[in-house]
Amino acid sequence: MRGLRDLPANLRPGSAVAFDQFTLTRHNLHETPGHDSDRHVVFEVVTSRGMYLGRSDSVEDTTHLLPRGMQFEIASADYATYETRSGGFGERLVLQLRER
Amino acid sequence: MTSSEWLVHPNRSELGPDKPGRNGHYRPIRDARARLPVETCEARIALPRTMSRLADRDGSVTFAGGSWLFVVGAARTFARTYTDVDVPPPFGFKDRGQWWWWDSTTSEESILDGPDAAGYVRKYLERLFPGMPITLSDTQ
Repeated sequence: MRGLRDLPANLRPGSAVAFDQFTLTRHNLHETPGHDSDRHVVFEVVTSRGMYLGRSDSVEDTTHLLPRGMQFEIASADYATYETRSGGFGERLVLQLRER
Repeated sequence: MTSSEWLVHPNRSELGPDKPGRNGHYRPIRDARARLPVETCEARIALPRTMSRLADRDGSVTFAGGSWLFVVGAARTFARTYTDVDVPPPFGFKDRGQWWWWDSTTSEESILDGPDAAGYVRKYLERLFPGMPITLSDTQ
């Protein structure tokens, strides 16, 4: 993707998405499958409705389960820098979602 | 009941086609509030002929977004994907109130908010696209 104009119309800031089913999420971007692939879209979700299912007391696992039927507005699309599992830095496009 | 009794099997979120029943499947909602993106920062790189298959009609590639951070992020992804350049670290990020930059410098305020923003961006893009003419524009 070279510019914001390349975003599909239904993923542009101001549009909205719904998650009809339960959704597994993670706090750490590097734990998320597809984080290092530009073929996949990554959402950042701000919510207090997640149920923690991780095992961060023993291994790196920040899994959360979100309820079904959540709706979000796409607040922004920007590149985010994150720490990789190897201790380096990765960077990728992230769509930030705000609960409706 | 402990959380260890509720382990999530990794295959519940493994990569796969985006369709109902798959984790992360989402449904776009038609919404009149969706707006055309505003691209205020733009970097145009004149690519060499050897990269013409990646270029626009005028032989260049343009990265554009609502901020310089978007532009350098898109440019770095392009360089990492399509060139053999030794890609520098991501341009910068904010952590616990402090900005950390790709050249190991730090600052309290973002260098991209200052008058020299375009200069910093140019220096970074010259690392990503050595020897290629670069044109920047900022209409913020």
